[in-house]
Amino acid sequence: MKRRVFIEKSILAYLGLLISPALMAACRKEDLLPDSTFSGKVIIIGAGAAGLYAGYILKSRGIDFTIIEASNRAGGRLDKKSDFADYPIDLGAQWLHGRDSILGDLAKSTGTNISKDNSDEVYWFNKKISSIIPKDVEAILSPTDNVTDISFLEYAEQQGLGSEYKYIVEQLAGDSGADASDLSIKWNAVEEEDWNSGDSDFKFEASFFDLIDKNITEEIKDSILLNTPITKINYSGNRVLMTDNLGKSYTGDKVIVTVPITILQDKDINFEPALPQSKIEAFNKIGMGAGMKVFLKFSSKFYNENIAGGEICAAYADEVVGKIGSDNVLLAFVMGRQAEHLTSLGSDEAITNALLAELDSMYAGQATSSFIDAHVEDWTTKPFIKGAYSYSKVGIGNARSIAAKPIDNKLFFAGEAMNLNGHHQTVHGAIETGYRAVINILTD
Amino acid sequence: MKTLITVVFLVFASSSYSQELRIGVGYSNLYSKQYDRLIQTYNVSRPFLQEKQPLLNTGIHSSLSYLFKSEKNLRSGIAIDYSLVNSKAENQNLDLTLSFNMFELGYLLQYNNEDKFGHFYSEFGIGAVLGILNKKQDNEAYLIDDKVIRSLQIGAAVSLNIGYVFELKDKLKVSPFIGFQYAPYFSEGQSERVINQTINLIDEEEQYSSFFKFDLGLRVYLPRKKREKKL
Repeated sequence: MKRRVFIEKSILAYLGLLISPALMAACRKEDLLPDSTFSGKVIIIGAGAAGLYAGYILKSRGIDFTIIEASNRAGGRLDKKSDFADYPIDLGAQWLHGRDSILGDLAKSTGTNISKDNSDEVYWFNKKISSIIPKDVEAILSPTDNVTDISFLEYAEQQGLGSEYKYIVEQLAGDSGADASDLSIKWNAVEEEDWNSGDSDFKFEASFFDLIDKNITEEIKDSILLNTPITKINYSGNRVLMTDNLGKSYTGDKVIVTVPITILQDKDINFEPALPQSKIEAFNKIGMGAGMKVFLKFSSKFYNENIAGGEICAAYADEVVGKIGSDNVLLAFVMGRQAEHLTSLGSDEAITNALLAELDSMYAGQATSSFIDAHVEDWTTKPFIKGAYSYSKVGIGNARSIAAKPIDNKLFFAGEAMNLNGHHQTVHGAIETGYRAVINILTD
Repeated sequence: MKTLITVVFLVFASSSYSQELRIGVGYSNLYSKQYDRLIQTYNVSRPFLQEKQPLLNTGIHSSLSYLFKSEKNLRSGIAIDYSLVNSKAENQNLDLTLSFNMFELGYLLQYNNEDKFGHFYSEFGIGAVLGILNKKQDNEAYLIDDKVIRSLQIGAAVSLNIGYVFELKDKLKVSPFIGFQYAPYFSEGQSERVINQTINLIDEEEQYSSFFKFDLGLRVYLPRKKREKKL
């Protein structure tokens, strides 16, 4: 072969090699599920964040699905009220806990205005409002590595926090949706190790509810069946048969159960065959306490932005922070036994009066004198919610992982309580489990 | 690692006569199952993004290699490689760039039998590889609580290169080549956090994984004057 011919052929071969990687690249897909052969029907039980997002992903894949919701609205523990103040208030979830998550991406890409909650905090300590307290109570959030499985309250006592700190400790536990005597200091820390969304809290200029409602629920609203409590799930056959409270049946090839953990604990849904005992035990090891939000509207702003340590309510927060509006609304964020106590008072008026009395003691009677209106949102008495959000109860261990495990490749479990990567208790944690369930179904 | 660098340096320093110094640039094609799956999960989970995140697939690489003199068909050398593979998706209010940087320091053996294969040569290399996965959102480093989040990998690499040397005038030589590299690595386990903002969501993140890289490029042999030995 002459040198020139060889060089020409070499150049041609080289150009060919240049093209081949491009062809190789074209064979690989950006889509995780390009070859999924699943063409059945998916039933999603519950139209909370996890269920809605699972439906949203299924719709984007062109897969047949129906969301069956027990209550008369979609959103689960997200809801809003627009006529209480001159800005909308979130009746359920209202803080975006960290911006570095799928919801941070959604907010960013949709141009949703959020702002970092930099509000100040004061303490109700020894019957006085104080901006500082003698001991660093928040240090208990970072326990030592060898801490045993004891409650927040017990650990706080071990750390020398006396009874004067009790309700400040309750406020910290309340952030995790629990009473301090139930929340595990060990497992709470273990589960939070995986937290990776960022430590700052953000508030929505409009509402958290709107972010999900306008961008997710709106896209799939035609596939949501409201006012349909499912009471029985029979997964013994090839297809799953579900029955509602009126005896009407629904069938699906795969079912994603996204109801709150309390619904599973209380056996409001009867599974046939019965769920494995290990799963039932796992459900019961996950905590979910009472939760209530009371919005108090005043004619003047006499209160601080955050008040921790109340005996009736351990956490108050100024609702106008991050909002465009001027109405003075103070949120009483009541968790655990404090919420149970307020619920036991029996009426919204009694609840409001109890809170006003506490605020009066803190601010020399200014609460009652400037009180205008109140809205009580008691999540514990809602029959399809029954509480606030899940927490790491003493003894929880790996219960979430057992609870979240699919059964027979037909039943899949989602919802904030089923989040295994540190994002339980949050809306983005619920959403992650929603798309996790869909990926598990479609990659089978 | 320190020992390896020292040995390589000593070999380099003690035989700096009549060697060949080469620089190379080219195109890289990366295949990483781990990254593919994470990016695919990211794409499936975010239908609200119009533009899908491309896989970490194509990029560029550059290399500097040094071949020691030998009278035999088999020569040894050392090489430093750097490759950069990018993935960028531009979405409304959310531009995301993933960059995988790979640094390799390796030892190579070149086989060149001019009688049989003319100017063709093949090279086998082994080395250590360091990979850094970076993320940028809207052209700014990805921060969580003001800390840059990136994922590091460290591993070994084996490679095979095949090339052809063209001799141009004044001892200048160029060599188109193709290369294949396989690198098993140990990951610190942050890749899912960087790409999908989750940890162990679908499966536990693999601590041991690997990537395969295909390179195509051109090497230039830098002409070197032979040093005169002093009498």
